[in-house]
This record gives sequence, C-alpha cells and structure tokens, in this order.
Amino acid sequence: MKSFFLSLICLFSLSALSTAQEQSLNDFNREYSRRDGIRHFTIPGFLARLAGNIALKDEERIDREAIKPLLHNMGSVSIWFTEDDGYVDHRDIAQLKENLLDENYEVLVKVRDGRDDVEVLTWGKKDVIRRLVFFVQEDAASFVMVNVRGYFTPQDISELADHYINKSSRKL
Amino acid sequence: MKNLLILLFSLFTGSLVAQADAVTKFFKSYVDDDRFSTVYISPKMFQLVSKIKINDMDADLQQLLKNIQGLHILSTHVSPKTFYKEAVSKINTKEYEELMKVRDEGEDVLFLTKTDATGNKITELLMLVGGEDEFSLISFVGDLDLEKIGRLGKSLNIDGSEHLGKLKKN
Repeated sequence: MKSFFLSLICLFSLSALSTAQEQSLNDFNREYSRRDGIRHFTIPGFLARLAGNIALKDEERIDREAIKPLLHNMGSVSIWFTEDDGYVDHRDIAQLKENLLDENYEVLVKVRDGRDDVEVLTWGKKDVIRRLVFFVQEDAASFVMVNVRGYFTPQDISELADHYINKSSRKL
Repeated sequence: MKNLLILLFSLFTGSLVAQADAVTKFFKSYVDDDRFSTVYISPKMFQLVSKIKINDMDADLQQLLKNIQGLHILSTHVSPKTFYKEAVSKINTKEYEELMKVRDEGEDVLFLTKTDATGNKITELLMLVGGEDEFSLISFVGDLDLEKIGRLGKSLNIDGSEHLGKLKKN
C-alpha cells in the first residue's frame, strides 16, 4: 500500500512538473486555438514514433540507425500555425517567449533574415533536452510554432551528427 | 565625504557600463531592422554542442566551443560602407584593442579584442567587415583562443565568417 501511494505521489509530481513547463503554452493555446485561421493539433508520441518508424522502414534510408534513438525518445508534438486570414498578435508572441523564459526555458538560437524570423527555445535538466519549441514567422501574418516533447541526450544527437558528418565526407 | 565617494564611484561605474554597452546598443538598434540579418547563438547552444561527441571533431575545437559564451552576427547588403563607418565610430577604442586591420579586395576587415581585468585573457572578439556589397559585425564572447576561432571560421558558413581565417594566417 505504501509503495502504491509513493508511486501515485511520483506520478502526480511528474505530471505537475510537466504541466508547470507548459503553463504559458497552454495559456496561448486557450487564447488562440479556437480562433479563425489558427490551426492547432497534437500528434501523440506513439503516433509520431509509429510514423517515424514507417518512414524508416525504407531500405534506402541509410540514416535510420542514427535517427532511431532520437525517434525512440520522442514524445508528442504540438503544432500551431496560421492559414488564410489567421493572425497572431506579435505582442502575444513576444509575451509567450518571455513567459517561457520565466518557466526556465532557454534560448538556443535566434535567426532573422529580412522578415523571416526563427527562434528555438529549449527546456531540460542537465544535458537532457525535454522540450524544444520552434517559432517561425515569415511575415506579420504567417506564424508557425512547434513544441516537441522528448528525452534527447547529447549521445543521441552525437550519433546523428557523426552519421551526417561521415555521410558528407563519403560524398567528398 | 562618504557621499562624495559614493557619487564618484557611481559615476565611474556608470561610465564603464556605458562603454561596455556600445556594441550591444549598436546590435540592438538594428536587430529589428528588416535591412539586416541577425543571428544569436546562446551560451546554452554552445554548451550543448560542446557535449556532443563527434568523432572527427578535434578536442581543441570542442574545448573552444565549451568556452564560447555567445555569438552575435549582424549583416546587411544595404549601404554597407555607411554602416561600417558608423560601427567603427561608435565602438569605444579605449575598451577594445585593435588586433588587425586588413583591406582585401575592396573590403575593410577590422578585428578588435577585449581582455579581462588581468589583460591576459581575451573575453571578446569583434570583427567588422565593410565592403561594397556587405557589412558584417560578428562578436564572440567567452574565454577565447584566436587561433581556434580562426579555424572555426570555415565551419560557420555564414556571410563574413570566412574572414575569421585571417586570424589563423596572422
């Protein structure tokens, strides 16, 4: 009985931790997901892994061994994007980014080229990446945001990087 | 007397902060300007990359990545000569030391460094490029080794970063 309660407490604290890291994304979702011209969907982790595994069945894909560990540790993927007359206020995007930083997300990279804007934020513990949030804005009207959940270790990324480096050096 | 000392100290530290912000201010004043392309790579990104073990990457380069605290790039193809002159005039020469100035095929390339209080460690490398076609400002912050940064130039594959190779040659 004691271990049952302990397990429940662990599960509860894990889910609370997970929710705490997504509070501002949830707020954004509540604000925008039902508006006209804003699309939002979440691909569950098992489906994302299944789709990835199907894609990797292709014998021609020599990179499948390198991608497998990343795919194996991938969780659900949430996507928001604008279409037709959909519009996300740039002040709300800026506020969301600020809120994410308050929730201990960190900026990885920011790139702006003309009116195209890309920003990647991450959250994790020690060297393990647990969340990756991508913001892509092509102009004032076009907006895409992707939230990838998972458990990505530097080792997994190393294997992938090694693979692509070896692949490009083979080409040379 | 105590108040006077506090006032003097505040004025002194205030002027130091103002100097230290010259490049940041210049960067910030154009960061949202559509004529410019900007790149910011955070310390977190460098920290992550340094932990990724890539077989062919040499240990020195990996160490350099670990020590970089951030990278800012600002570049434009609009009025490059004007922006180059503006950047040079706004940068405080007391704070930065000129490392090298190169004129290569109509392009002016200026390397400036900032050192720590002991003067032994380079804490910032600033590169300004101004030519007929392009203006670039690249700022590396961290515990820097110039030769290794010169080697990093090729890998960056960003407008203007090819000039970093000049550090290696010299």
